[in-house]
Amino acid sequence: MGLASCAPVHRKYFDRMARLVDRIEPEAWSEHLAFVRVGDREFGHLAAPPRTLANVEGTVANLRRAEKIVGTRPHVENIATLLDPPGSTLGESDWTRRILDGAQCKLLFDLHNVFANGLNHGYEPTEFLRAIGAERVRYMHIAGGKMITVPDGTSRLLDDHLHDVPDPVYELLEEVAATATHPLTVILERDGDFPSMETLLQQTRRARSAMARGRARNRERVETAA
Amino acid sequence: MKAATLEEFLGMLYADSDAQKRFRRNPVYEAQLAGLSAEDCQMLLKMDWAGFELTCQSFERKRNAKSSRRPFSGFGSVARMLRRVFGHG
Repeated sequence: MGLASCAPVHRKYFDRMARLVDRIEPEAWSEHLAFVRVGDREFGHLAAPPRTLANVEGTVANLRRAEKIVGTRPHVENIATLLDPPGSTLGESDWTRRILDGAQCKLLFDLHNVFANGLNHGYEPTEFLRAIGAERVRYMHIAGGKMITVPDGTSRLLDDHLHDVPDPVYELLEEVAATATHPLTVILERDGDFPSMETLLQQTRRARSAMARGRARNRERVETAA
Repeated sequence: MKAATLEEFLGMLYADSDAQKRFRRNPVYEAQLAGLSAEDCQMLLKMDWAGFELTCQSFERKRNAKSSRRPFSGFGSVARMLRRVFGHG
C-alpha cells in the first residue's frame, strides 16, 4: 500500500483490503512501514522513506484512513533497508515508536529485518526493542539472509528469505519473550531455496525453545520482584 | 513546477532508471532541478551511495521480474477495460 509516506494512499488500495478482510475475516491484517510508489509509478518493492516528523504525520494519517475504511487497525511491520534513508531526522526506533503511538497500532516485529538493519547501519537490535517496548509487539517474523559484498568493498546483510534463520534472530526472539507478558505469534518466513521439511520444522522447534527460555526468564523476573 | 520533497525525489529515483542515471552523472544539478532545498541536496550528497546503488538494482530486478511474469498483461488490460465498460465480472 505504501502507508509510510507523506502522500495520502489512494482509496482503491484500502477498498481492496476492506473487501478481502470482509471476505476472509482474518484475526488481523498487517502492512509494512514502507513507501512503494511516487504518483502512479511503482518502485517494485518496499522502500524506507526519509524518517522525518512530516513522514510520521503522513503515515499516521494513512493508518487512520486504513482503519476507517477497512474497519480494523493494521499491525505494522518494520522493513529491512540497504540504504539508511537520506534526510532522516529521526532514528528508526524513534520514527517507528511515534507512528505506533500516533496511530495506536501494534507491531509485527520482523526480527531478521531489525537484525539486518542493525548490522548494516550500526545499531543493536536490542536497543530497537527497548525503544519500541515489547508490549507493542503482537506478531513476529523470523527469516534468514546472506552477506553480500558491495563495490566499495564493504559487506551488507541482505534479507532474502532464502536462508536459514541465524542464531542472533533466535536470541532476539528470546529477548522479546523475556519482556512481553501477552500472547505472541511467531511466523517463519521462507520464499525459496526450500530445505527439507525436517529442517523447517527444526527451525520452528528452535523458535519455540527460544520463546520458552524467554518466558521462563520473564516468570523468574516477576517472581523475584514479588 | 512544484518543488519536490526529498521523499518524492528519492521515490522518483527508485521508480525511474533514466532519472537514476542522470542523478548519478550530476546529483546536485538534478536535485536542484527538482526544487530540493540546498540542505536536502547536501543530505543526498552525504548518503550511502553503495546502499543507494544496491537498492536501485534490487528494485529494478523486482520490477523486471514482475513484468516478465505478466506475458499477457496487454490482453489483461483490454479484458479489464471491457469489464469496466460492460460491467461484467
